[in-house]
Amino acid sequence: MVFIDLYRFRLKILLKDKALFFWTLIFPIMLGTFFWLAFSNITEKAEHIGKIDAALVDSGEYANKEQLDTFLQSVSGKDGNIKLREVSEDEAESMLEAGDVCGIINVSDKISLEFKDNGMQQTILKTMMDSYIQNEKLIMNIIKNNPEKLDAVIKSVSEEHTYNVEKSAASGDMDVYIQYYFALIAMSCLFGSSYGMKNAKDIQIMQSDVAKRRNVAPTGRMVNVLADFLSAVTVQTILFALLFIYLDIFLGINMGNRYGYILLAGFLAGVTGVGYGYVIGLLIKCSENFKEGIMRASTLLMCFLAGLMVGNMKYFIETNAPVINKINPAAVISDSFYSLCVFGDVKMYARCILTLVVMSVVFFGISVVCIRRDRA
Amino acid sequence: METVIKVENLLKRYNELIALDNFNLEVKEGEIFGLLGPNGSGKSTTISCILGLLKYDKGNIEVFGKKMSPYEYDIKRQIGVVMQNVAVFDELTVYENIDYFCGLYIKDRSLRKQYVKEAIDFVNLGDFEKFVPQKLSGGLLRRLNIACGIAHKPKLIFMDEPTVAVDPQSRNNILEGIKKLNSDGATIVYTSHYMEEVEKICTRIAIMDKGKNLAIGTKEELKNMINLGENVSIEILDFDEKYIQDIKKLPNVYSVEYVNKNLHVKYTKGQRNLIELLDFLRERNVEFGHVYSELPTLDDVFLEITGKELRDGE
Ligand SMILES: Nc1ncnc2c1ncn2[C@@H]1O[C@H](COP(=O)(O)OP(=O)(O)OP(=O)(O)O)[C@@H](O)[C@H]1O
Ligand SMILES: [Mg+2]
Repeated sequence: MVFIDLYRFRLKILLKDKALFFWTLIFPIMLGTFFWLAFSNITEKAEHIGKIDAALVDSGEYANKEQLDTFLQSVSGKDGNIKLREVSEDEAESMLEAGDVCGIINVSDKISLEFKDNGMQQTILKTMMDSYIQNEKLIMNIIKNNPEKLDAVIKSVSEEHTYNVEKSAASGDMDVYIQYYFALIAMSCLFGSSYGMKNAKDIQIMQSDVAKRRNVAPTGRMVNVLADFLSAVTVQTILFALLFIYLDIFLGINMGNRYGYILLAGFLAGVTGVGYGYVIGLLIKCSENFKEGIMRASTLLMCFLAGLMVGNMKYFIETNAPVINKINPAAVISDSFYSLCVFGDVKMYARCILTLVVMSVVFFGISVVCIRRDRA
Repeated sequence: METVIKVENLLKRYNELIALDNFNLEVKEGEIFGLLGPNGSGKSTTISCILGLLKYDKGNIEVFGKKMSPYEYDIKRQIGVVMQNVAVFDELTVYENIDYFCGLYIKDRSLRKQYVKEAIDFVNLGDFEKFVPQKLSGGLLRRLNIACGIAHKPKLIFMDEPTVAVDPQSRNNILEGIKKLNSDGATIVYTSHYMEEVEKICTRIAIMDKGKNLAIGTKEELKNMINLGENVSIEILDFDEKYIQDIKKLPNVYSVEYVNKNLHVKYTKGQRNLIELLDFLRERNVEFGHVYSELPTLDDVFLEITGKELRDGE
C-alpha cells in the first residue's frame, strides 16, 4: 500500500476511537469549563487591583534587618506594587479588621504573615515574602561580595514569582488562573499517550491479532510504525488545536496570539505524549486495562505536580525540588506555554521546546528498540 | 508436484514447555492440507513459525523453495492468513478492513478495488459493506476474517480454525468457499480439531498431538494405518451379558461393550460383519431396536494412535 494510505487508515482508526477522543478532548474541555466557571467569580474581583495595602509591624529583632529593609523598600517604592505602612501591633490589628490593609507583615526574630481572608492581594503578598525568605542567603552574599548588584537581584527576586500575578493585576486582562489552563493543556497532550499505547498494541505480535496480521504482510514493520506514529501525532495536534481554540475563543482566556509558537509547543507536547504512550505500551507487560490505568495515573500525577489541582504546587516544587519541574513532562509543557503567553520569555520557551524534543527522542528510541525485539 | 512448504525438525519451546518437538511437514502444491489435533497440540504454533511470527529454537522452514524469514517479502506477498482469532479493526467498516489488509499486499489502487469487491462477493458480505465489526454476528465476523486474509489472491493460504464458533450452515458455506479457493489454484493449510471438517475437505492430513506429528496421509491411508473396520451399535433393552464372550468369538470382532442399553461392537476389517451379528442375536431371540453402523472416523484413528479422544470434554 502506498504510505499515504497507511497513514490515512490509521488516522481513521485513531479518530474513531471514542474513548480516546473523550479523554484527550472532551474531558479537558469539561474540566476547562469547570475551571472557568469557578474562577470567573474570583477574577472579576481581581481586575481592579491597584497597589496592595499592607501593615508592617517590626520589633527590630530580626537578624538580617538591613537586607529585609532594603527589600521592603524596593518593593514598596515607586515602582513596587505594595503600599507599606509601619505601625504598632494594635494598630495593625484594627486596620486589618477594618479592611484598610489586606495583611500584616510581622517581623520579630522571624517573618510571619497574618491575613483575615483569602484573595489575590494576599496571594501576591505571600508569594513575595516567601520568595524573599527563600532567597535571603543569596541576598546576604551579594551584599557582602557584590553590593553593586543588589538592586538587580532584589528586583529579580521580587519579580520572579510575582510577575504573572502582578502583571495581571496591573493590566486587568490577564487571567491569574491561567496556569490551571496550561496544566490542563499539558494533561490533554499527555493523555494523547493513549494513541501511542494503541499504536504500540497494534504493532506487537504477542499483544494483538491485528498486529499478527500486519506482520505477515509484506509491508516493512518500521513503515507501519512510522505511519502509525505520524497519524497519532496528527490526531493529537488537531485535538490540541481544538482545545486551544475552545479555551481561547469560547472561554475567552487570553493566551496571547503567537499562534505559530503555540502550535509548535502543542505539536511537540503531542509527540512527547504519544511517545510516552508507546513506552508504556511496549515496556510494561500486563493487561491493556492495567496499562491504561498506569498511564492515566502517572499522567495525572505529573499534572498534579505541574499545578493542575493545586495552583501553588509548581511553585512549591520549584523552591523545594526544582529538578522535578525540569523533567516532569507536564511541567515542561505548561512552562512552554507560560513562557510564551505570560512571560514572553523566548529563552525559557526555547529551553522547554528543547526539553520536549529530547524527551521525544528518548521515548522514540526506547520504542524502536522494543519493537525490534518484539519478534519473540 | 512442487513442494510449497517444507518443515524439517522444527523445535519450538515456550520457556519450559516444548510446543513443537522435532516436527516435520511437507505440503505440495494444490493440496488442502489438514493439521488435525486437540487443543494445545501446537497447530497455531506451527503456522506462526512458518509465517515468521515466532522464532524457533531449531529446524528449518522453506516456503516456495526458499528459506523463510520475516523479511522475505516476495514470499510473504503470496501468502494469505486467516487467523484463529478474528483479527480486524473495530473502528473500520467491513469494506475498509478488507481494503486495508488487501492494501498491505497490493499497491495498485484499481486492482485493489477490484480484489476487495471480489473478496466481499466471495464471502457474501455485500449487504454489510458499511457495517463495523461490532454490528456483525459471529458467523459474519468469521467471514470478514476470511475475506481479510484472502482478498489479495494468495497462492498459499493458512486457515487456523476458521470455523470455530460458527453455526453449521455458515460452516458449510465456509468449507465450500475453501474448496473453491483450492480449485482456483490456491494451496491450503487448514487446521482444526473438528475431524468431520478435515475429513470433508482435506486431501491430506497430519495428526498432531503434544507438538508431534504422529501420522501423515490421505484419510484412507490414515484409516488403513489402524486396523479397524466399522463400528456397530445396536439398541437392546434386555441383554444378557453372558453373550458378550460369544460375540467376541465372531469373526473380525475387535471389541464388545454393553453400555446404556446399547451394544457396541467394533470390527477389524472384513465383510458381512453386521449380518453375522444380527443372525447371532436372532438365533438367541434377543430383541433389538435401531441398528447403526459407521465406518471408522479420524477420531478412531486419533484414539488408536494417542490413546485419547480428539476432543477432550468439549
Ligand atoms: N505465547 C505463548 N506462551 C507460552 N505458551 C504458549 C504460547 N502460545 C501457545 N503456548 C502453548 O503452546 C502449546 C501449543 O499451543 P498452540 O496454540 O499452538 O496450540 P493449538 O493446537 O493451536 O491449540 P488450539 O486448538 O487451542 O488453538 C499449548 O500448550 C499452549 O499452551
Ligand atoms: Mg490454535
